[in-house]
Formats: sequence, structure tokens, C-alpha cells
Amino acid sequence: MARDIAATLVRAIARPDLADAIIGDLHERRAMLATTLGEAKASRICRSDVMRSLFALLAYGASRTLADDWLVSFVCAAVTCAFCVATIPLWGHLGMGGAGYHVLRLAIIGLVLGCIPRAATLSCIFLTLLIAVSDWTIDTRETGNGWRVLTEGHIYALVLQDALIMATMLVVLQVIRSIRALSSRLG
Amino acid sequence: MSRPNLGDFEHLVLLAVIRLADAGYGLAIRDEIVRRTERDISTGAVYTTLDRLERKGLIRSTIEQGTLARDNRVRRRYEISAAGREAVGAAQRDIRAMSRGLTFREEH
Repeated sequence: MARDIAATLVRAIARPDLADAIIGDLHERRAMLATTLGEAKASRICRSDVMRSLFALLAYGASRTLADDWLVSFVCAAVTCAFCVATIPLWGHLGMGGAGYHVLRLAIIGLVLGCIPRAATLSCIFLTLLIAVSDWTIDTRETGNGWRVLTEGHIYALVLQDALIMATMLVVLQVIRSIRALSSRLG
Repeated sequence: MSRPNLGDFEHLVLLAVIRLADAGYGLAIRDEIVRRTERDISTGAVYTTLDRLERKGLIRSTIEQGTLARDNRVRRRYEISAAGREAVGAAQRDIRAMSRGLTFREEH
């Protein structure tokens, strides 16, 4: 029963081929240990191994999903933007509601997105679209706080400004990565 | 191609794969590291590291049929690639260069 639960847990977390190899190893190890230590102690050792393995498999699975899955990267990027937008009402209270700070915030979003695996390789148009939605939300919130309502023309200007900032950030990140790759090759 | 960065545990796993040559199975790799370093490591940690090394192109794996002792589950045999050998060599050179002139007390 315990053996089945361990196998099910490993299979639920690890990739099928890895899970099969791990479960096979645990069977083999338990059989080897049982000849010298007895069935009970062998089972206890293997159970502890499974529990520790689960943490490693869980962490590895999460990191791989983030690195391999475009959808996860998209969600990460969207959550980052959403977080930045959600904190917008705070900036005004802190005296950081002006255009300069808006540009600064976008630059920070660009840097954060650039650090998420794969997000940096998402198209600039997509990021601009994401930020344009953010700007539209900012506009609404600013209206709610009694600030000036932006006209449609301003929104387009903002989108263009965002596109330039996001593109700049992505280019800067790409240049930094290229320099690092070049220096490690030369070193 | 830029030199891949090897973590401490990745380095140990690669050395175990080299040592075991044709017998580089997951369980054997784990046992080899435990026996030589006296570290208590989990099977999951070994397999996730092996998978990461394979993705980096430092090792290759082949799948073999399972035996009765393994409940008929497949087993993977790992072997070092040329890039892996090069990465281990470079890491060893770095360690030697950094250790030169330093003395350590050996524990027995």
C-alpha cells in the first residue's frame, strides 16, 4: 500500500519516463537493502528517499515548466503587469504619478519581464499590447481618483512610448546577454 | 560555444558517470556518490540532475528493458558526451588553479 502511494506520488510529479526509472530504482534498492537490513528497515529507508525525492522533483518540474512553457511565461508576464497596474493608485499618494515615473515603472516592468525565462523572447508587439491594456486601466483609475481623463490620442501616444521603452529594455537585455556570452567564450 | 557552468552536484554526477563508464545507471550513480562522498542524496535529486545535464548536452542516455528486480520498469543508462568530458576537464582545471598553494587538513 505504502509502496503504491509512493509510486503514485512520484508518477504525479515527475515526467513519465523519469518516474518509471525512479520507481524501478527504488524497487531495486529496497530489494538489495532488504537482504541485509530486513524488509521493515529497507522500506523505511526507501520511504524517506521518496519523500526527499518529491521535493527535488517538484522544484525541478516547476523550473522546467517555467522555462519550457510559453503559456506559463505568458501568465508570469501578465501577472507582473497586473501587479504593477494594481499598485498604480499608490504612486499618486507617494507623489510618483507623473509621466517620468510612468516611464520608470515601464522600464522596471521591462527588466522584470526580461528576467523571466522565455518572456524576453516574446514579441515586443505582444508586450506593448499588454502594457497598452495596463495604460488603459491606469487611465480609468486616474479618472476614479479625479485626475485628468486621457483622450484616445493620448492613449496612442502612450502605446507608442511604451513600445519604445519595452523595445529598448529588450534590446539592452539582449546586448548584456551577448556581451556575457562573448566574454565567457573569450575567457 | 560558451562553456557551461557546472554546479557542485552536477560536477559530482558527471564524475560518477565517467567512473562508471558502461554501468552508468541511475542507482549506480547515486551509490557511487554516496560511497565516495558520504553524502546522503535522494534518488530524485540524482535523476533531476541527470536530466538537466542531458538537456545541456553533457551526457547521453539510452533506455533499457526492466528486470524482475525493478518490477519490470525501464532503466536508463547514462554516458558522458564529448562536451561533458570537456566541461568536467575545465571545471577540474579551475579547481586545481584555485587550490594551488593552499593546504587543507585531510580528515580520515
